[in-house]
Amino acid sequence: MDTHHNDHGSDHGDGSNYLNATSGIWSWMFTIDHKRIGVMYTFGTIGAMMLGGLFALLVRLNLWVPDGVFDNNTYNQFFTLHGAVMVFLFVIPGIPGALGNFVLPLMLGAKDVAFPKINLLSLWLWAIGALFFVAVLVTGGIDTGWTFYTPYSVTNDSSMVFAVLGAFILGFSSIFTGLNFIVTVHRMRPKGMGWFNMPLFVWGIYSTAVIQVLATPVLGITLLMLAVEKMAGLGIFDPSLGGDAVLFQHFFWFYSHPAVYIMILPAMAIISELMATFSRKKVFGYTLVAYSSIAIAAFGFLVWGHHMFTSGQSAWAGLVFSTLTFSISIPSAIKVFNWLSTMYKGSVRLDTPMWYALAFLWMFTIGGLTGMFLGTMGTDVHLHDTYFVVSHFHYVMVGSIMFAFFGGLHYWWPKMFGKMYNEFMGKLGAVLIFLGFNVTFFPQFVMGSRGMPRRYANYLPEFQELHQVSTVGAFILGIGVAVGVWTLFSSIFLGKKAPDNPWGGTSMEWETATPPIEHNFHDTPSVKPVYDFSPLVYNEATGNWDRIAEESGDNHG
Amino acid sequence: MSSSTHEDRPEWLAHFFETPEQQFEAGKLGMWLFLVTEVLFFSGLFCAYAYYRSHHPEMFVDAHFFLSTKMGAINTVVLILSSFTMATAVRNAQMENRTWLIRNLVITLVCAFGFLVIKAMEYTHKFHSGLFWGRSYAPNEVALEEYNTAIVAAGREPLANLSQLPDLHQFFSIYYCMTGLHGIHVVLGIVAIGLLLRRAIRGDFNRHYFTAVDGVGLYWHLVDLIWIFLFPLMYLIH
Amino acid sequence: MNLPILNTLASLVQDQKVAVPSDPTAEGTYWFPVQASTLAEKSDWTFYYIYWVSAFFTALIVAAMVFMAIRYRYRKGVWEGEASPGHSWTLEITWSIIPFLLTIVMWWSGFKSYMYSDTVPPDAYTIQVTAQQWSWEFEYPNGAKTYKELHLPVDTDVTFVMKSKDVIHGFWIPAFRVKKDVVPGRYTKTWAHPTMEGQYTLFCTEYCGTNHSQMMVQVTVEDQDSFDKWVAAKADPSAGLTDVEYGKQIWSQQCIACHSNDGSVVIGPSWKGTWGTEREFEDGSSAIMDENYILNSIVDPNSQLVKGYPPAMPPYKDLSQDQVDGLIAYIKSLGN
Repeated sequence: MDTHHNDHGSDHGDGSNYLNATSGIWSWMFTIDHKRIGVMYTFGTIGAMMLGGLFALLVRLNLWVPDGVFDNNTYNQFFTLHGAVMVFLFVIPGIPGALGNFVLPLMLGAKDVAFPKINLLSLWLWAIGALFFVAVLVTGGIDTGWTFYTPYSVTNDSSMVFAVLGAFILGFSSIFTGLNFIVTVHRMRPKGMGWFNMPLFVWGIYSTAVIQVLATPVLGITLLMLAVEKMAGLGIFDPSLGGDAVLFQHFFWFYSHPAVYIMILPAMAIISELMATFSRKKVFGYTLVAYSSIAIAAFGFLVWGHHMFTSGQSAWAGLVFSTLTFSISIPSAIKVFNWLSTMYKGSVRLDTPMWYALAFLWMFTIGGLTGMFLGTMGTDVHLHDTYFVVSHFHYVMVGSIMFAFFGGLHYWWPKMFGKMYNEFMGKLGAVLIFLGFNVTFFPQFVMGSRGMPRRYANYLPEFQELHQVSTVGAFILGIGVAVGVWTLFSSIFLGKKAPDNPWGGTSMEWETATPPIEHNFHDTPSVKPVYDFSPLVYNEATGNWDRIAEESGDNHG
Repeated sequence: MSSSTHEDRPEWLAHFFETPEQQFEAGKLGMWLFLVTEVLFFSGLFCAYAYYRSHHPEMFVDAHFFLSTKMGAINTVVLILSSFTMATAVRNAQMENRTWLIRNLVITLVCAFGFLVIKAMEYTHKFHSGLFWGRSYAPNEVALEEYNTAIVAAGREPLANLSQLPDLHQFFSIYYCMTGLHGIHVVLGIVAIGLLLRRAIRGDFNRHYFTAVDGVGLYWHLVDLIWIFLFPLMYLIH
Repeated sequence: MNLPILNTLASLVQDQKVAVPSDPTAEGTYWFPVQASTLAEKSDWTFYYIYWVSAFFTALIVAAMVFMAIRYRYRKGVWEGEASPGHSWTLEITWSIIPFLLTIVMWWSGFKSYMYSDTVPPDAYTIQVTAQQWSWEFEYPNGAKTYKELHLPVDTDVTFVMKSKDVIHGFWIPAFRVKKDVVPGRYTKTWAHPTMEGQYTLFCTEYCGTNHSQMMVQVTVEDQDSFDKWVAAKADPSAGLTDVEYGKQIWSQQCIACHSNDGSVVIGPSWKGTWGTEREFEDGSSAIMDENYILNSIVDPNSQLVKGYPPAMPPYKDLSQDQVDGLIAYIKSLGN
């Protein structure tokens, strides 16, 4: 074999792949194929993102005028549902469920994850959790904020219990996914792929999985106690029953802070892949980037009190939390500088995924740096619970995580569905999203420090101008997201057939057929040095990056 | 890597594992990770317990007059016995001793049910005394009598009337949460062991493949271990 | 920028108009309101330090990114990057140490200004703050109580001892840079040393329910003499008022959040035209509204819950006899 693509995983010659090997709704609902599960997560979490986005637009619409467009209670429900749907149904499960599931086994040359049936269970639990949130919508809604602070959440009249139980179920979905990925990475790597020969995507997903397994159970018990407090008056979080309202905050943030690392680490994992492939170069400082993922996961458990500097917790506890919070900035900075250095003397291709990756670098820099203002105790006193915080976390959750998700989707979509999307539309979506996002959220930093509190249905007239700018931005962002999603979805039906390796990636998923056969590989590809771009040559005629055979010959088994 | 041909693979080896060892190691690691999540899950309640005990130590001392140390001790013995039979069952599976595997699983199940029966007796007794959780806490004359009997035995003066009974609603909230959650895990364990029993009868296990027995065994040991912590924390406070 | 249709929609669906305190004194900076307390300067210094460090690094990173994307752009035939070191300890250490040193300044300066705001001066002029859904009560050492306004003497340490009657609220005066949560079941404390006379705004800053965004209070800082006169006058709020006027004042401070005087329903029943009428309760019983009914509704509201309304009213056990008399007179005056 010379310059043709490997047929480690070429189809059986009959055009069958994981998408069409079996048909009918039951074959999807009861599948144990990680690729099908990944596809279902993709559509499910994108759906949740659109629903959460709809609530966001309603929130911003209300804020067009100081007196609000909707009544206060309705507004309060909009921001609560926006947060809860986005956090629990989209950001936490999204990248691991959709891309982690699809890509991880392929990258390891494996035929599936370690526990495919548990993987299916994770998906079902996600769906059931989603149904609980639908139940919340139709039974009166919740207005507590996604953070469910007590005693308000246990003394008001709302569908809180549905929401809490829904989040509880979603927590188990997350735990099982994490458990699956840890075992897969430990036990299903091919011989010859040591830890430091794995793609950085695997390191990122693995670090995420560790947090999922260790942190989420604590959320689980917190939510359970919250539900029992509401239903039976447990007396643990409600001061009128002898409980302690701030104790809830400790329990809640003990999970929810590591949760934000569950959200960002997979996004960083994607960025590593994109920076390497589109610079045609191994990620600079590979080993340190790998260790940084672990460091971020570990330190993430120690900083939860930085959400509580004004809660009445002691100043000394605050000092410890602030100190540890700064410790996370170092590995994060290391990653950004290493990604940047990857471009140095590289061969930078600006396809759509790379646009998202570069946008990520910029947005994450802002998101991360604005975190410093909040980790610093003195400035946090003024900025806590203001629009400054809202803007900070949107720069990370949307500007970084959502951008990375879109980058990853645009990168792996051809592999998943065998079709190329329209490149112009892909870039158009990226531009609209970038523009819309910044117009929405940059003004919010200024609003916050000037005195605009968060979760406010009405506001002082002096903030109207900035609110209106922000609202216009939100609608542009919405259009951009619609364009991006449309670009991807429509390619399934209208796109050109994709070659096996349209981007020239070096990891094993690019050595299978596009879309992959049901069992991924006939023969596991040989393990090569990670991020070695030298054997890949672009073929103008086919649009494929061909792998030139090594001297020692490809292993066809 | 060479592919594994379909013909020489045992039927219990899943298609996505290369070797039986890989499957076994994966199963074991998975179960240990799951147990870690269970420990963290319960840890929230242990934290709540610690917080409330440090803030209301007298409440915990008073409450133990309502708990039967004898029942708790019997339950402890029952669970430890069941752990022993479960561990033996794992060995039986490994040694392909199907008869004793089945017998030990059955004894484990009987013990588990026994635990639940005793727990049910304890709970109903408390319900009769009006000792519920949280908002529903409403001790009645039965409770007063029981409390007085216990404190007199400890050398104190009996209380004159109900209104003098200390307010123990928080203790009982934590008590029901912790023992209740533990009880749910016992029930889930019964289901899992029941499924194992069915597979054992069917002859699914052999010296190369007993992962499920091993895994459920580990889970059951954790359930036992959690009770071993719960028992002194709830019943043995003086 | 006002779209008429949205304003029309707004007037159709909104409930209560925002009570807007008079505009706070202008002349803040791009990022901040005025520095009206001793804390503000310290807090702002830390902010601007972080701001400039952040702006520098953002510009650096974006410039590097743009530069390299152009300088090292893909050219046909260049299938992979040039051979170059894949790693550099020098770089890693440099770009770890320098940011680390810069963050130490942030960390330390932030800790210092936090300790400044958290260390309540002993024996300062103390105001008791009570938060509830959805209003504030400020009690001054001479017994005066205010609800919609807070006055403070300039150039004096003032301590706030705070508690909540129901859920967690937050006490925030942006111009002072002072913020602290107000928690039920315990006291929290903060303090300020106002340095500039003027009018500022206090916001509730921890989400507390439906009207969380409508708990704004006007904060007036004035010279010691004016303040002393003002607080002395407030000590006897009923001075110079008839019973009805006094009752109306109390209503406008403590009851207006939930009860209207014009027939419209806010949260609880309107008071208009209710005196002497028969009130039907959730449990089927009923009673005529008279003096005793009103007293009972104030101190034990849920014992006679009017049908069709939520049990949302907390008891007000601290009203004086005069205040209750005033409220009764006012309700009577609203018709029967």
